[in-house]
Amino acid sequence: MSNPAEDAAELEQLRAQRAHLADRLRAPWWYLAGFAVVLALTLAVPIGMHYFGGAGNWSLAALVLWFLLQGALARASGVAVGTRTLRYPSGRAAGIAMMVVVVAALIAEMLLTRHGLVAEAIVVGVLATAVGVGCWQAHLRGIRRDLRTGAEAM
Amino acid sequence: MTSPRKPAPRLDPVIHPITRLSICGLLASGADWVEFAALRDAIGVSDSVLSKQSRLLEDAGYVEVRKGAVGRRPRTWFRLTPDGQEAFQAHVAWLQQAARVRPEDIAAPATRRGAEPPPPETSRR
Repeated sequence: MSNPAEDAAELEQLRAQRAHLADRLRAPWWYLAGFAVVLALTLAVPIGMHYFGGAGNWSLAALVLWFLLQGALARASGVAVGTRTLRYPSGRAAGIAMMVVVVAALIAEMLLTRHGLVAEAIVVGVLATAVGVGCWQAHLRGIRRDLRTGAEAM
Repeated sequence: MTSPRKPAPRLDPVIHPITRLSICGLLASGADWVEFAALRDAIGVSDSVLSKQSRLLEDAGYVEVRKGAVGRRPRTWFRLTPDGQEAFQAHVAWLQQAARVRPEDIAAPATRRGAEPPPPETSRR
């Protein structure tokens, strides 16, 4: 006979193993620093355009750096979650919040630089970078939660 | 990723041994790929055990293996195939059903209306 207690214990053991695996996905300092650079590059585009007339390559550099960071995190942690991280339900709200912060900051910077308020635009960029990194950490926490519970990733 | 429809509870003899159940369970957690060392550490088995058990799952078509290297260090990555995902979900549903069966239910399964018969004796290791 199969032992119900044994079956329940095995499911419990599986939960503990998933928690162990999810904990490996903790973002190291270099990942968060790299992500701050990604956001800073993105948010520097309106200011760069104001000073240099064109800064389209900066956003391309930010995109390449973000892909490299995701690959590096997968190698370091041994857990690859890919680049479509919004499919994790628990991390979705924080991921969308980060995008909203970035888009709002870009619009604000464009308006400020248009009126010659470059210093204020830089402050907005710095603040948005800090808030964006915080949102991304919350996003990663959500992903870890979903890995721990095995929640359906859509 | 997981399929939207929940498969019917089914004992899968390939997944049933505890190490293979752990491998499938970790690969079904939602990650795209999981690296060999991460899987080994989470399960707490030796390299040889993980190699052997993952090979059996690969042969059954439940696990996909990708080999690469970082510098000179070889890296092996695993992920569940859609077949593996479905089989794992069905097996976990079976386990959950079996775990809900109380000893008195096993003693007299016919007295419970709608109750599943007790699962058969199977080797776990």
